[in-house]
Amino acid sequence: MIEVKNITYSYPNSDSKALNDLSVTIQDQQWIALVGHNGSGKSTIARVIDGLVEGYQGEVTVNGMPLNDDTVWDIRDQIGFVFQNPDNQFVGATVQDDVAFGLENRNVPRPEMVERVQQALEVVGMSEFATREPSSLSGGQKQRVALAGAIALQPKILILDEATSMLDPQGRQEMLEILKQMKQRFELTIIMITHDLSETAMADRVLLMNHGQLVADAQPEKLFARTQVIKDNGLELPYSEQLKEQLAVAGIDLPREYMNEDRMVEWLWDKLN
Amino acid sequence: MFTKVIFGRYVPIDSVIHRLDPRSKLVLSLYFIVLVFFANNWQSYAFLAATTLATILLTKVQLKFFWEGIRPLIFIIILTVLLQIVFSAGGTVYWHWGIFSITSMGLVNGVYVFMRFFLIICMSTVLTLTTPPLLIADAVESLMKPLLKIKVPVYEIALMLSIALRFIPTLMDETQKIMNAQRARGVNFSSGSLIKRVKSIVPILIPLFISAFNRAEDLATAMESRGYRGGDHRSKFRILKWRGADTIACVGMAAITAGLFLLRLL
Ligand SMILES: Nc1ncnc2c1ncn2[C@@H]1O[C@H](COP(=O)(O)OP(=O)(O)OP(=O)(O)O)[C@@H](O)[C@H]1O
Ligand SMILES: [Mg+2]
Repeated sequence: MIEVKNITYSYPNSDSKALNDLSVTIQDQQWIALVGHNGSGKSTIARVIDGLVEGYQGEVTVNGMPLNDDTVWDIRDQIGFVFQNPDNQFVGATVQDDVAFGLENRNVPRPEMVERVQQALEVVGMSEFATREPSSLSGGQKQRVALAGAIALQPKILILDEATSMLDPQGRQEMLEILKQMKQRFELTIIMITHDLSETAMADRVLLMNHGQLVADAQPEKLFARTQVIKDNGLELPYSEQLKEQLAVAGIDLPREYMNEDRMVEWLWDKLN
Repeated sequence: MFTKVIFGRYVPIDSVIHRLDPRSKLVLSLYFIVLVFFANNWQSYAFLAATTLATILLTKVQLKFFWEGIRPLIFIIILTVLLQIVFSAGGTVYWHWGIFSITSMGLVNGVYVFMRFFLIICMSTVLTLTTPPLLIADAVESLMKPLLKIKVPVYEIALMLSIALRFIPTLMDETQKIMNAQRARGVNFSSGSLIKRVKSIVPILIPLFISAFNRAEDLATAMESRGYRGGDHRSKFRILKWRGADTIACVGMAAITAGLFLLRLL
């Protein structure tokens, strides 16, 4: 369980508040989608939870441990973090070295490390690139490697900061599927930061942020229904939801639950026949 | 244009030399460089040249890569050799003008100096063509381990080295991007007076530094979030392995040493 209580924070060189009295509780094994427009404070709150930010007001507790200088390394041990920019988190000289980096830090014995690196690369479909250097990889491939690096640690909590932004639509769908399976297998808690509301459909809860505050906290379908809130906070409904809205205006009866584009096409096809 | 490093870049093929432990390659090539200074007659130079050629052939790397390794230094080599020739005296005088003269001893010395340079560069090129930079860094780490006793942060230095190596291509790309961006704004890097050209470098360096610092900060955060705390409580993914071939290479080098010292007596 992650408890964030009344966090207020400004970056040292700025006077506006990146986080403004933010409180939220995340239960174990929940899949959280964190959305909001650029600069709404998503990355900042994720960093606070991982103990990467200092000098904030408020309290953070992760799995019963209050976050402070003594516990920060234990807490980080339980968290796998994938950052926004895949190039600036690539530490190793090759793909496999990079995936191994976190394991080396945790002093995992070498035979086990080799195995876990291989497995993690397999999961993200990057096995054949194991010995490649980062400069010879595409952005999306680097993001896959970054994800492998986090998976290899077998964390309890996985924080993904726009970790699929450079993947093609199919790759993104694949990653979401992988996350879903991993969540079940390892009883993961996932915090996924994204701009794209259609990526939130798999989440148990969507947290919508603006100006360092929580504006909405709801299940995806419930949030999609609040179209005004979404628009007011600078986001866009998934395409299928926009279509649904238009159809509703035209007086066509639609199911309440979220449908992705494929499901939508199917439903329309049935309806038309 | 930036990516050419002196001595040549790693050529990823398979050969006896490629498979040697980087530690033995590093130590043996340094040792060979010292050995070159012990050659004192044409027989000993010929002998060392023959062993160098044999090593080069064992790498299976095309000879043109060796030539590329030597080319950037060719100017310095020629200059040194010329100075050596015109300034050293002794033996038959062929030509003479003021303090300059070409003598038989001068010519012989010139040839020796050239050979010395040539052999040293060839052996260093053998090392860099057959060993990825990362493994050279590993070898340095491993060989520096005794320094841990006098509190030299060997592991940190090695990690710094490997991160630096990893970011060289990234920063090269970035430089290229910035240059293109400046070109698109009308900056000309290849013409104008020297001062003008040097001045046009400033608008490349400043954004490059800013971005490098940002990257460094991001990287530090990412490393911290992945549990990096420094020190030696870390296991290692890459390990170096000393094989039979490495021992054979060392024995071979001992034989070369013996041969050289025999030839010195001639
Ligand atoms: N290193 C920094 N120094 C100063 N201000 C910063 C820094 N990083 C972020 N900020 C500011 O803090 C606020 C929140 O930033 P944050 O990175 O958390 O936004 P975000 O929701 O992750 O945005 P994005 O979707 O663009 O990633 C922004 O107003 C931003 O300008
Ligand atoms: Mg962000």
